[in-house]
Amino acid sequence: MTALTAETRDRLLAIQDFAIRLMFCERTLEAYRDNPDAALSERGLTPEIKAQLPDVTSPQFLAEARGRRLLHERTLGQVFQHTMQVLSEINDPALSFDAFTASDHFLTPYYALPHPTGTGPGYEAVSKYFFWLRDTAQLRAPTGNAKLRDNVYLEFTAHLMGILGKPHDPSYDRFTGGLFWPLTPGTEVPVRLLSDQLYVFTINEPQKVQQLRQIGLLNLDEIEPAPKNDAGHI
Amino acid sequence: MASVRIGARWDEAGQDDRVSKARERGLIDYIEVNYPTAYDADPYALGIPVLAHTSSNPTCSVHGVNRTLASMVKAGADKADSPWVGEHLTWLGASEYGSLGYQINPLFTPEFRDLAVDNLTRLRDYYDRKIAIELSPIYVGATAYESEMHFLADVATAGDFDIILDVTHWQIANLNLERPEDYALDAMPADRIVELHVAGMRKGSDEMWHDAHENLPSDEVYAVTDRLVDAFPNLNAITFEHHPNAPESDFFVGLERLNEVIGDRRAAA
Repeated sequence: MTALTAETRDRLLAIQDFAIRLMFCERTLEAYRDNPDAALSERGLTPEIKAQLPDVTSPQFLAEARGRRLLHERTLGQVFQHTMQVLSEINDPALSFDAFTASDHFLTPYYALPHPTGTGPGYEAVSKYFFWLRDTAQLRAPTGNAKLRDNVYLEFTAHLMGILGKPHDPSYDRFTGGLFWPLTPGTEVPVRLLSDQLYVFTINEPQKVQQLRQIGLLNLDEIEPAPKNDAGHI
Repeated sequence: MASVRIGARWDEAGQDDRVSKARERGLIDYIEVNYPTAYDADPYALGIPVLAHTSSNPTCSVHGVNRTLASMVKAGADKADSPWVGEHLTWLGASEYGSLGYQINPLFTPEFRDLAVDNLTRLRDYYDRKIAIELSPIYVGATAYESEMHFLADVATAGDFDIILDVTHWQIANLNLERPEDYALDAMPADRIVELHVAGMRKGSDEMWHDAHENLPSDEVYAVTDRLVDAFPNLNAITFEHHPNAPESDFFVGLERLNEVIGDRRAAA
């Protein structure tokens, strides 16, 4: 195949991205349904691209798109059961599942931990969801919802402990023993600890928190997404 | 007369026991290992021939195929000395790597055909091994091709690749798009089809048909498989796909029925 020009490559990337967003981003789908030419133009695409795209009003397309999002919602609902209950109490559209699947945290691989199989980041949605919620709900700020913070941190830590119990990518070894976090961001105590045996502790003594660090336990507030995979392409 | 091997898909160590028993009972000739496997998994220790397969390379992506993933597949294919590597015609998202879940069908257009041919050619060179390509379940009709089957045939012919015809995915597409059971069979290059996949499916509350490895294949899928075995001169393998968490008893029921269907067309051990 003749090498793509930069212009052609950019156009095809935009087409691929737009087609993917139609599946996962409700705003993109609605915009395209209401005014396809404008929605395409917003992404730097011209009207003739419509002929390549599926009929987004068809029951088949809607079933597929909805099914893909539902699959993720179910999987994440199993990991973040109590978190989802708290979110339904908060009832903020910015924290809805639709908002997650439309976000860069979900659509890109840059806000995730490496997959336990060793493939690198971007191949599972649980860590994407954690980092998205932490960022979007500003859970590392003192004004963040404390109940939401505690629930999502507990459930994500439990998930990580489950990964440690099976063969896993060595990058997960740093979570051995458990994880802790201040109940109020930016304060030293009290601190919540979920151990690798899934025991929950609340620690009020600063020197005990220091001991946690000394034995190698990490503060979940300080865990960041994995660096970009720079292995390149075949 | 056709002479085909029968195999079972392997995804995780939890299946070791049932595939070993299936081998002992003479029901399978190989396992099809889906890469990447769980960390440190060792399906080769089972002593059963391995056919390499993956659904984790976005062969139709403008970005191309990520080297980390491809290297894991290559390592497995090399260790198994697999006769080919099974790949999907798929997107997995719109980024340079990563996945948004199950395979996402690309737009079936000439430009994405050319991209697929280029990506798969690079993969074939990288693997130093033949490639057989497969479609995922289809819900939406193609736009720039008569169908996804015609796209598959075009990619295979243009790039000189073999084909895995997933009978279940094909029948799911036919049901979802209200097409006849043998739709586009005449458009397929019969001599390129080296493998069939056979699995269960289910009708969802959305009235669409979906892949369902937890179910046994339907009577119709077995019947179609029976007819196809004699239609493809280079058919070599038929893989039974069954969910690791589905009952072991069902696994054996499915394999036994497949063996009955294939009958004396099964290759001698």
